[in-house]
Amino acid sequence: NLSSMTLTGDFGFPPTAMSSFFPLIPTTLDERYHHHKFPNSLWVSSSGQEPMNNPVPCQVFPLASGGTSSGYCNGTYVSAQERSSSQTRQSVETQSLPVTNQPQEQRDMSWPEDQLQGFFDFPPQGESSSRAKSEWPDWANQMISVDDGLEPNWSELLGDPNVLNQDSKIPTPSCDIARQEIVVSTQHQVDSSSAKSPQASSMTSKQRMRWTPELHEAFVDAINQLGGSERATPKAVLKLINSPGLTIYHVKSHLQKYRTARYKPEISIDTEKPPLKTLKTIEDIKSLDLKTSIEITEALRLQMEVQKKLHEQLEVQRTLQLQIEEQGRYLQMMIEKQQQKMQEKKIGSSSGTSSMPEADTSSAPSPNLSQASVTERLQSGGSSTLDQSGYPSGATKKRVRED
Amino acid sequence: MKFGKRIKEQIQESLPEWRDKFLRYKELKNLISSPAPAESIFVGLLNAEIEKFNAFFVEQEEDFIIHHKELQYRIQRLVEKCGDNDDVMFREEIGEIRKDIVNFHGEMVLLVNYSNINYTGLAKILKKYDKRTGGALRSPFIQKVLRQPFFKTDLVSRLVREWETTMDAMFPALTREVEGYERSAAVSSAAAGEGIFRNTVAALMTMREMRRGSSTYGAYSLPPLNLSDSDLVYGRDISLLRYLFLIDKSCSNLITREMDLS
Repeated sequence: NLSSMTLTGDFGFPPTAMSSFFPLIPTTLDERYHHHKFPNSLWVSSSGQEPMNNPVPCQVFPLASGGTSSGYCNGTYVSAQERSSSQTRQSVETQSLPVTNQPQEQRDMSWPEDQLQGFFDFPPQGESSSRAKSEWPDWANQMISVDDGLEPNWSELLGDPNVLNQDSKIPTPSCDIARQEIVVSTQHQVDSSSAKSPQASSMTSKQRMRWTPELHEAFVDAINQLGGSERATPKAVLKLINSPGLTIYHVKSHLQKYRTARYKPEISIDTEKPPLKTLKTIEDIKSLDLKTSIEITEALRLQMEVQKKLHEQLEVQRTLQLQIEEQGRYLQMMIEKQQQKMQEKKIGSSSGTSSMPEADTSSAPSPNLSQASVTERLQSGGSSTLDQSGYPSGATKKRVRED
Repeated sequence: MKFGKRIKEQIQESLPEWRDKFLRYKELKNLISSPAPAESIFVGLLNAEIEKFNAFFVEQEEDFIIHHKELQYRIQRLVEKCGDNDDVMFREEIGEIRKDIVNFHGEMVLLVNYSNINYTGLAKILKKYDKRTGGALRSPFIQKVLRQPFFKTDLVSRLVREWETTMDAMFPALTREVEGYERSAAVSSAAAGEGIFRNTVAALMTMREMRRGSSTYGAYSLPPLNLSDSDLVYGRDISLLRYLFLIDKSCSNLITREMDLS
């Protein structure tokens, strides 16, 4: 019944939803600003974004230097031609924004025309920089053009591998530095209660910012204190929010979004205006409106159901995908452990030929996983001639259906 | 092959501003099929795509956070105005807000979907790459992807669930006084955020397709999606959907090509 569309407590409004939705319920400012609601996954981090120091197993073809690097490099990817791991590390540190480690001769990373021709719908240009620029949101361009005098410390930025996330995504180091800065992928989460890592302070002016509802509330409170979104200045807002790591660039772009968001709905819906001016009588209003309302409500209900369903399935799918990867990682780890053991065994053994135990059957419960074939190739890379089975290393590998 | 087609269709059905933000699956596939796919180039392209996802996702998320707050304030003001009244004068505004809530919910779900489909595309293209070149790029690269901002959808999902709760609380289930589905059909496309609706359905179709089980099913494949087992009366709603689509000509392309729901 449409008449009972109210928000009274009869509907068993869950208390948690209540407090987060209606600021009428008194909460101290303190509580609001410092209340953590998010799991670690949203935070900049130690857990979230792994800096280059974290070793990531990467593809390794037979290394001339032997087993010490055993497939590890500092968070970057080794190209097929790469021969020594020390060269890897060096090129990581000296290149401005490397994506992959390349041997010196491939330092120039503008994409060769023949590989890219016709692959993209953009107007023909081989340079990634100009293409990437068109994709940037407005806030990024704003950050480029702001002249507030908060220049980041370029040398620290470029020289310090700890600050610069080596997992960054820009393929061409040749493009304009300012643009590189913006697209540095180090995620930066700002919250008044978060502790900022010291070396990131000079970079934060250009980092991507990830807002939270709490931080936004602080922003809105500041705006209101300053007399509204039209009167408030970014500098004042920044000061009021007083969140370490938040920069004026962030505030500026957020303010612009905020103004736009408030302006738009007021064009279409003015809750102050008296509604239903055009209909003649109350009776007409009631009868006509009721039917249409019901239909519209029904349609909305259906739409909502479909959306809910999609979301539910997305969450399920995501969980599954994570599990799959987690399982894969575990197996990979097991296999590598096994491999290490075998290396040690080989070193320890006196005879030239080492017998290859069935590594995959003992360490991998399912021998048909691709992990097994990875193991074989790594093993055969370590000792030159022995190959466990006739598995081809090329493209003809087939995945066997798992029951 | 199937996925490429699916993502293309989803892109077509997606909101216009989103269309060039998706993974360029086909182009990447073409690169892989070329005689000597250079890993550095491939990785470079993937990284650029990831950067694109991150930038777009984070910006949308920021917009959602702002909108989320604004919608709360609107409801609050409306509550203050009409209080316990069942004033017919407010019916329009309430209806308006309800529509906005549903559409907002829809957009957020679509962003989660955006994240997922791009992730899935990356996983698939990496699998293809390894298959083609005999490499082992997939595993470490995917680990990196899992840490990316665009993959971390927890906040948006949380907001989605909050609004579901709000909707249930604010607008309890109405008795069905609908006189046949025909009128709903006409109304649904007009009043119910057609773009969002179609996009949502397209996304669901894609997911079902992807989870049907494929010839290359293996360790990294998702188990089949069995939509008929859900608690939601999905079966009923899907036949309703089918009916609606059949009536509504503008959606007929979607259904005659894809629909295989039995």
